[in-house]
Amino acid sequence: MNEEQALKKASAIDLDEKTTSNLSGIPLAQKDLFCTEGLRTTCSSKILSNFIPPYTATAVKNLEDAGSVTIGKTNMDEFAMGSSNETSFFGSVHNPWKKEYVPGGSSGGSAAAVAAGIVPAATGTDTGGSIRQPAAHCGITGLKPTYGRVSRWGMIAFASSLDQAGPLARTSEDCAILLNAMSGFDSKDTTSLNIEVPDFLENINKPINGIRIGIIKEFNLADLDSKVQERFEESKKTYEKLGARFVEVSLPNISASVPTYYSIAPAECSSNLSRFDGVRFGYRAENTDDLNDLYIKSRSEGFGDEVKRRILIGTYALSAGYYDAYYKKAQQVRRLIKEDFEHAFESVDLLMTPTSPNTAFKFGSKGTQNPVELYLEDLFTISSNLAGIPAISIPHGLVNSLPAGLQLIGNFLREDQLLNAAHIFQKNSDFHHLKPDLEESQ
Amino acid sequence: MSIQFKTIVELRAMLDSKQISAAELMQESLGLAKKT
Repeated sequence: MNEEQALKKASAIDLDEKTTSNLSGIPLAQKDLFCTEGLRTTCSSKILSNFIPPYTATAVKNLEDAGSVTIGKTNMDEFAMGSSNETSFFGSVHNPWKKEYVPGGSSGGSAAAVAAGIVPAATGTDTGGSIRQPAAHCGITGLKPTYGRVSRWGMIAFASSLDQAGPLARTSEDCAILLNAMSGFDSKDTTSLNIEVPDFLENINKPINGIRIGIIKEFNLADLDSKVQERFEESKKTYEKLGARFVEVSLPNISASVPTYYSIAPAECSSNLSRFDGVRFGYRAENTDDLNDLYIKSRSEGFGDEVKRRILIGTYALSAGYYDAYYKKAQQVRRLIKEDFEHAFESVDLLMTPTSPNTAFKFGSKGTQNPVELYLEDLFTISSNLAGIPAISIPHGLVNSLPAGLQLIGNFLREDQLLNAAHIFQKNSDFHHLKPDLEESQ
Repeated sequence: MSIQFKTIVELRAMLDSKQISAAELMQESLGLAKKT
């Protein structure tokens, strides 16, 4: 919680008559992966449990400069590695819709805080679906922007070529307001795009008749839960009524997305997390014999099991003799997946999939014996991270009293089209108005 | 009037029409966070 600073800033805003920003005086929560000056930033890990950054991440600073007020930081999967929020050192976040169910991950705390109505919006990061999947499981809207649209400076890195910050909010319109503030070139991030940022609210109300939406042939939706399928078909009908035309498209390499991602992401994670050594900052083990022992004990005691698993996989994938077989090969397949998307967007404006193969699941019910079960949660979301393109999840009804998410994927830098299509859907449906019964879910 | 479940657009309207001050909004939001 950032109570004292939040109240101080809000009081100053009340005294300022000149305020014109949409975000002035609006409370926000920040995923605990964004560095916040003077405010503890843990990445939900023991190894950073005492870390107080001396600077604020650009994405958060941009939002605060626009007048928003950070009320606190939100729980998450440790170092953003997880799809259920069960890997946090501080304990799991509960889904506001049903307490015994996961909120999704890794931005599960941000999604739950918005779904529970504590804040109207929050920040998240998305490396393989970590904004969209928790947004889907909690019944809210979440946008992963184009890679490079929002600065990664001050975000604690998981997989640098995949990580992207974005907003979680109740509506597409609110996501547009947040994206307007978060976006922009940042010389401190070498992958930041030095291009003009459009006003994402400008065309959000534009009619969508004539829009072409692609359905990906290789995602066999018939294999999904029949009720998830049913919701998807209903949403297709809604879009058809609004004038959209559906086209089947082929992305021949998309079935390789999950193994490609789980070669690249752990490799980058093993490199990024090598900085947490117990010397410069964060947790330091006691009673160590020498420097090597300090490294080993600090990392062994400081990281959780899932983080250790990914570091081991990544270190193996990058090791001499295996680099070409795993990391290099995965990067080559990634290029093919990106080209598949480029080809698809020659004939369609957007692509549409369910956000997740299922709704939220019960704590401990997935991935305990086989982590791949949890990795498959990101089946529909991972490919847009590999291609660096934007995607949004919007709520489109309940399945067994839990929210289901609809994903729209856009072409490079076409967040405007995504936000427009999502907004028009929300103007013609009530799913984003559904609220959890918080008394019942306890 | 409760601020719970309100969108940014709705809260902006409440702030602009002086139905609530930014300080009151913050207090309510922090209160909800503590309660939850």
